[in-house]
Amino acid sequence: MLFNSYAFLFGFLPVVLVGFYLTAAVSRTGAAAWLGLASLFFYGWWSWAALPLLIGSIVVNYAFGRMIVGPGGGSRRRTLLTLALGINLATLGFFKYSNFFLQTVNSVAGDAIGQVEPLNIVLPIGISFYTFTQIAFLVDCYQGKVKEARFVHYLLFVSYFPHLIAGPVLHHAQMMPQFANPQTYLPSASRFAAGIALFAIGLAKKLLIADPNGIVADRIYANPGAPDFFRAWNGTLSYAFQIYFDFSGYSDMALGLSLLFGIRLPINFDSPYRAGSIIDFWRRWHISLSTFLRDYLYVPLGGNRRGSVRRYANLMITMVLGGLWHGASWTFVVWGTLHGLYLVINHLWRLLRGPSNRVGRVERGAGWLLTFLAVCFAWVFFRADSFADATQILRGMVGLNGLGWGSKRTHGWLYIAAALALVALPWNSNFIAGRIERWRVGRRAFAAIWGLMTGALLMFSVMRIAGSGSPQFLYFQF
Amino acid sequence: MQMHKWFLAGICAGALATPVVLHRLSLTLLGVEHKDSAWVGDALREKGEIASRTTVPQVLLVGGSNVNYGYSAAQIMREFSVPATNLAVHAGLGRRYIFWDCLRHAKRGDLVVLALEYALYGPPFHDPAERYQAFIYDRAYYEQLAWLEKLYLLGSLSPPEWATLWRSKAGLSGREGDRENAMVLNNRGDQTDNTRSDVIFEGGPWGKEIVDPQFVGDLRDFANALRRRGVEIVLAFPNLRHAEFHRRVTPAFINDVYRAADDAKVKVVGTPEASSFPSAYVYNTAYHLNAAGTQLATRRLVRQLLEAGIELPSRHAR
Repeated sequence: MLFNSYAFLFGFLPVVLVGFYLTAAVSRTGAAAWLGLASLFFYGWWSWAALPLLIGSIVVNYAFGRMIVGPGGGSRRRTLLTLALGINLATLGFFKYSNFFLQTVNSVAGDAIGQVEPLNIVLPIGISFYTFTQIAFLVDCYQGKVKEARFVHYLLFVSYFPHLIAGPVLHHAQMMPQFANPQTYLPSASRFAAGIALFAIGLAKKLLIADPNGIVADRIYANPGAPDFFRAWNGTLSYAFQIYFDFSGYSDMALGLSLLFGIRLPINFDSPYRAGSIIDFWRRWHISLSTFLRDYLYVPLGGNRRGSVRRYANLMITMVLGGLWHGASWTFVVWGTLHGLYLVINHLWRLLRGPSNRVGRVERGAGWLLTFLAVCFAWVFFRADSFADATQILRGMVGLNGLGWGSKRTHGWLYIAAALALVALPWNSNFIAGRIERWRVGRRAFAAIWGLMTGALLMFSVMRIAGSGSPQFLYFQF
Repeated sequence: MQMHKWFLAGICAGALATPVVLHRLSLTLLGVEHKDSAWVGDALREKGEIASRTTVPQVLLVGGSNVNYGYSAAQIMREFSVPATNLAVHAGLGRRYIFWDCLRHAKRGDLVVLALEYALYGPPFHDPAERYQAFIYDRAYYEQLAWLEKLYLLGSLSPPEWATLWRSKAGLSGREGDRENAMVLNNRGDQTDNTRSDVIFEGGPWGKEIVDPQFVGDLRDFANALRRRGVEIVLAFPNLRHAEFHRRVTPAFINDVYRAADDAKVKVVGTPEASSFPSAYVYNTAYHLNAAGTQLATRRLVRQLLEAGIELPSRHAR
């Protein structure tokens, strides 16, 4: 069930919302259980076949978590943690990377060992997200950071439908206290107002910006040929804005929906295309994943505590694995590697330049431009179906296939311009929702007019759903 | 709290007002001419006039561009002495518009031969052709839709489409470039320019076909409306190139087509295999036949009608 579908908006959501607050009036545990079961139904709607795997994963990880925090010595706990992590990574590896591994073996070995047939595996939707969420939980159990232990809350923490399919990657410390807080179960006009506004903005981002950009990007990337300069940039900029508005739109919708249930999800995007450096970019893009990678991969590898060389090596390892997390393909590995290199170069530059709080406008502008171009360059590998396609697009982007003046070019620059204008706005959706939620004083008419515009945006987007054919969100495939 | 209540009240008002405002705004699009839409409107008008001028019962060829290109009403008249009009223009109009258009022209004693592109059996979609037709040329179609359908159609107009149409209205763009789209029709409504050898074949990213449950209801309603006015209907299969036919059309889909026809009590003529053609008979897309293909398909269609025991309109006249 997509957030941008009529079945969700006019069926699932109202029933679950009303059921939640009616149940909460009687029992908070009952309301949490209702939301947990509704979330499992939401997941089952996607794939009933994959539901047992999700439930099994929740039960097994909860049991391991309880055993790890239970009585026993350090070695027993370490063994349990290793075993639990092994099960999680093996499951993820089997479903997501088996065929990637076999294809790599086939291409490396050629006919020397005979071609191995790929396995008939369907990737369970959201497996990367719920596996990472639970790995963090297990590690925190081991480190003694887990306080809340009710199964119903754990079930809800993992399966909570706004984040289940495409994140944000949640941390139990962000969620469990909210489930235990009685205020969560009381309806609130301020949270409703902010939630609806965020949802409307997210839906509009998806339907009015991301999807039209995606049509152009798909057209160009599906069969790139030897694109000229304008066509190559047309495709890459369209994709850059498609993936940003698609994923940040999804995140806004997830955050907005969650606010309707009184639960605050962590912010996942903070205007990443306004970043002045790659380091800054990764503090703004898919924040929950980069935080996870930092806390559960980069820091355990040693982070920046073991000298510069190890620091840069750790950065590279983290980003390469982050690339591989996105998809079982060498193009994702290259994307991750590129970002690893960017980060290393950015850190080296800071080292060379020395500490400075005074950055001039020219330097800030150059930093922004360089960052944006570097990010777009890497998106080519992220989007292209093969290295051959990526190479052709990159050749076009640097003008090796000609400029293409006067040729019949693909349309879509209007959507790129609209996306760029939105990116340049000083306020983003998080800022707007925050302001709405904290709105205490002011003119009523002003509030009503803002509401009127939000309602119009929401309704226009809802009406667009039928015309858009409800394309899926890009991050569902990861 | 007060502010939030006013804000939420504003949201409700905005959500309710938006469809009304868009509905009113859509009236401004009436009569706007644009190069992407004018050729469809012109062809529908011309074909409709041909059908209306024919006072005796006739065969009405109905479908998308596969019928427009693939069957010849003129040949049916010439070779079989059966009055016929080719009403088909473009599959992008959607089956509901195609049915609506046919119902405007069908008269007592006519025989409707319906050969829809396979995608038209699937879930309804809103192509620009349908919305341009509904908002620019044929408001009556839009007005007769159920309110939910109206909302869908209004919502399917994208912001750039609004902008493009208003630009045309303001005289900033017009029908330039339309000449390459304009249809070359004979006096029975057949497309006659499928003889060029310099056309480029355009493939499509097509998947497997399905029969949507709504199609069953749409076909039943359409057939019943025709019968009420004394018009017979038969279902034929669309002409399609072999390669695409084998890639897209499954036995399960064909079974569903027969079941839908059975449900609507519509006779089916021919077979899907017999309507698939080798590349030598195909013109610029997998659904468009060239002149040789059209000639062959038309003879085959009439033979299939006769074999199925369908009485052709000229025989009624006798």
